[in-house]
Amino acid sequence: MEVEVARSAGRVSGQRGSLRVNRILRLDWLGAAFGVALVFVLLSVLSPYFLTSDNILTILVQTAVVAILAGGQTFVILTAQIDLATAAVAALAGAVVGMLMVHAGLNPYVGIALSLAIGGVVGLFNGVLVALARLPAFIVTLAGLSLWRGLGLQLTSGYDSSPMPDVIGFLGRGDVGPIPVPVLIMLGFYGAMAVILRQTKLGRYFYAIGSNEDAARLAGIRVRPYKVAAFLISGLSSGLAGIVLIGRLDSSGGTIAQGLELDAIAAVVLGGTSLFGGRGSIWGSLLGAVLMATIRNGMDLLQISPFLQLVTLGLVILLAVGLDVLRVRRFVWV
Amino acid sequence: MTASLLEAHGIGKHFGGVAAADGVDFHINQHEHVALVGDNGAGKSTLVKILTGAILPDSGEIWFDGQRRHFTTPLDARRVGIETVYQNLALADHLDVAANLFLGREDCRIRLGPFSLLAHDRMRRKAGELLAQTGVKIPDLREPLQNLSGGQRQSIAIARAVGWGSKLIIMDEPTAALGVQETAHVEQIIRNLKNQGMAVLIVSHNLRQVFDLCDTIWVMRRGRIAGHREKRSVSAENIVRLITGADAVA
Amino acid sequence: MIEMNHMISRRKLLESTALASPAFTAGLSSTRAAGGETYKTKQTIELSSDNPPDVYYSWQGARAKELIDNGFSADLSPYYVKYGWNKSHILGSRVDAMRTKNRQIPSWSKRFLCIALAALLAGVAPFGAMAAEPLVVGYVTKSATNQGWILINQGATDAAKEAGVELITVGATTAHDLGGQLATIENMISRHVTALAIAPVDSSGVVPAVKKAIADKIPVVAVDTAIYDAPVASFVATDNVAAADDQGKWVAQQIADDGEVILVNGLIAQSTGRDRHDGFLKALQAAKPHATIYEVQTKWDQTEAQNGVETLMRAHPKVAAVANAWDGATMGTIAALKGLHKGPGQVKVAGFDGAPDALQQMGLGWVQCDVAQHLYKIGHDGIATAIKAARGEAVAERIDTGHAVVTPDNVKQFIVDNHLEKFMQ
Repeated sequence: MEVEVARSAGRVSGQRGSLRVNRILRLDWLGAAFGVALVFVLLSVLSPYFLTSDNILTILVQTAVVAILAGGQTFVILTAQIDLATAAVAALAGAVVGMLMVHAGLNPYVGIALSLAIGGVVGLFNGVLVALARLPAFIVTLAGLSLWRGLGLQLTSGYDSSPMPDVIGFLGRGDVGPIPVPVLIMLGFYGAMAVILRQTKLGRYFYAIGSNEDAARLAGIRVRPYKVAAFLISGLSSGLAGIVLIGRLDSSGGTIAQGLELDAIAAVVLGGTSLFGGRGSIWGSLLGAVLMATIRNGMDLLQISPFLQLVTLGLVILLAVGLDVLRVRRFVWV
Repeated sequence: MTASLLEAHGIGKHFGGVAAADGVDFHINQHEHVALVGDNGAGKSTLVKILTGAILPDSGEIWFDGQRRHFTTPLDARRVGIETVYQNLALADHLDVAANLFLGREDCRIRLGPFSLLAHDRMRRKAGELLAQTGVKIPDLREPLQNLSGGQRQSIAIARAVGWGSKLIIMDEPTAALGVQETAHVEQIIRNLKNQGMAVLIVSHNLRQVFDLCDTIWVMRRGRIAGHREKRSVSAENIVRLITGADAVA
Repeated sequence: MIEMNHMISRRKLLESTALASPAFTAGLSSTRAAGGETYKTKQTIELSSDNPPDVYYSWQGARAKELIDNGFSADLSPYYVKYGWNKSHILGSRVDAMRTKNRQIPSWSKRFLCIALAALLAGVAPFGAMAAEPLVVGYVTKSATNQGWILINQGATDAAKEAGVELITVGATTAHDLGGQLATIENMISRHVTALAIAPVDSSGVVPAVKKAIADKIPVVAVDTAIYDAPVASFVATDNVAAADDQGKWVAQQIADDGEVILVNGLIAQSTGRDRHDGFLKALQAAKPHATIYEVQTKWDQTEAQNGVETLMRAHPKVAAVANAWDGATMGTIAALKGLHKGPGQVKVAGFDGAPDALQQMGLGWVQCDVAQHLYKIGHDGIATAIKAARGEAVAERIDTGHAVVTPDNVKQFIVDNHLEKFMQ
């Protein structure tokens, strides 16, 4: 009993002493920010080609697709669910829309809307299966990895379509002033998502459901529609990523975006969002995606051997996650 | 009769062949603090769940605030003014104090359905007022709940129940997981509720606490009410005998 | 063991024909045996016993020949030739496999039905899938990572069709899904394919499953990518080292003595990736020892190629040529160059594969050289070799399907010669 008293007293005084510092250290995206800063410093020292505006912009462009996928994924992971099929859906949307634009003369603006629609429909489908039929999200979206990509390959008979119409090419390779369009799309997307998460009821309910689903239910929140909504947002972001990707590649096919779902999930986790839900930051996911793209860029510049590249990537992820766990343990008293 | 807030007549509930509640007659008066005690398996949680709408009774009637009520979900009970503080507190640990106090009933600046914009400042201000009124001390309202002590979290759960204009607050083992000092804090908050005229039902194993806080003590045994006594006119020993069945039902 | 549809149909066939005859007094009893080798052993034991089965299920020509040679069944060729069944009911290939010398057999009047049934079951068209294990080739591909593979797979399908052999094609779900490929190979073994053609995603990784197949007497042919350290029947592919050597020689001619080149690699863990990398570097460094080479490492992913070329071209703007280990990378390189506002031909691009989309870009001036594989031939010869191995014929250990250096001068002819017109947009 005495120990309990002492502990609770200690907590109270610790809080009063460094309120502002604590608030900063509690920021979930801090770990990813630290990781990015660390890698930037390291690479600037190791390679003279790294810290140029050209190269930084290149990194940001190369981040865009994964970042958009990671943004949608953040919503799903916040609600303690997971979406493994985001890249496959992006491939499906990109492949189908690309094929229609190149071979059937589909208007590119309709194509953009169609890509979002395909993503949204798949997202709803996933949401209904997980939240209403209560199938585990892991399994449904794991199956989705094959299902959606297979569907994309089937519908396009495995052929690539190219080149993309100018509008799409602009989305993937154009510039507005010095800033590449994919970067603008990425930033705009993240701005919108940040507002939703922090300023709206919807966002708060995502956090609440992820933190304690029962508490949310008992508080009168209708949990299931929100869980479906998380998948819907993930699906829409996959559709958006698909369009940007085919714009960048200047070709579309069922085989694009291979493995990007893992990059996206890694970016979300690196960004400080807990896989158990309830805690996380959308800007963290952006930083996580930037971190991964920076590492790959650095490895290309430094001409690191292919096997070492995999090792490096793994080590950096371990380091970033490890530091974040330390931060949480020390300053957040989990 | 007009003093009664909650009345339950002939409540019955069977699970399989077991009678978890059998012909229970129960009432709580306006502003009264009542305790429900009994051994494990006596049927206390079943009765509480029926009163709060989490379970449907097989038989019996519930009257609240002078009207016959049918609760099909806990939200029905909440709507008429019965709030429950659950044993696991039903708090979202990663959210801060204000978010939890307003959970499900957020204050919004612009109403757009799910896209309604939250009025953060207003909610924080009201949260501060509510906590002061209930006697709960939290230094930093933006702290996620998981960083607070058990007693503070319990107090917040109670403050939340108070804040929603409830007429009756039901608490299930409110201090079971707390240390001595925190238990004292929470009990003080419960006493404050009496001053605010709130009716309270506490389910507890702690007879000392029951005698300290409550006016009337109801005893359940084997799904039935074994008896109820005014605190002033009974001793702890008598209550124990009612619980264990050493005394026949009065 | 679960009785499958074709077994039920066989039983019905027996009941309606053989057992209906007054020659038979006993009924049908079944023996269960799992797996090809076990069944053969059981069959031999039963046939050697005092009370052998009068009608039994057997399969494919080679086994029937064995049974006849060992005196378990009679040669019925005089009979079905007389009735013309070899034209209408029995596949010619089966017939060839079964012809053998006559033997004196006791109670042949009962046993003759066995071989007739075997022949019927093996070849009768209406019973299609129910037929006794005809030649089945399992074809395990990498996923269709680019148009090149579509051509390879087309060749494979055609080869199977020409030989009248059933082909089961299964691709890996992702471009380097080793686990999935291992499982697919094992499933094919369970399914008793008579030969396996595999395009491995990892030259060493598939070895455990391959060894299992070979132990089960299923010959394995490696297609396009080698399988290290396993006794495969044959390796059918382009000589990647020789082809990459030509690519390296061509690029060497395009750059100055101290020129800069970007090389986009595939997955070095696969033999194709390694061979093309090594072959290219050797040739280039021999011709231009002072050249600088920047490498991009990928997992055969086009986006990785594009990102890598983009990054390196920005860092080293004086790069004069980009060589690609496969044409998916060629397309990625072109997209990267477009993104860097380069025009066609400003930076020389060398491809590998001869895929239709890359050849198209050659026509538009973006690609100056493409070392083309005979993709269709790889698939075709790969399956044809597997079929040969299944039939027990000898096959060469290494079959080089050849390559051609395609440049704008001869690209049109190449397209015609290789029937690629229909792929051109």
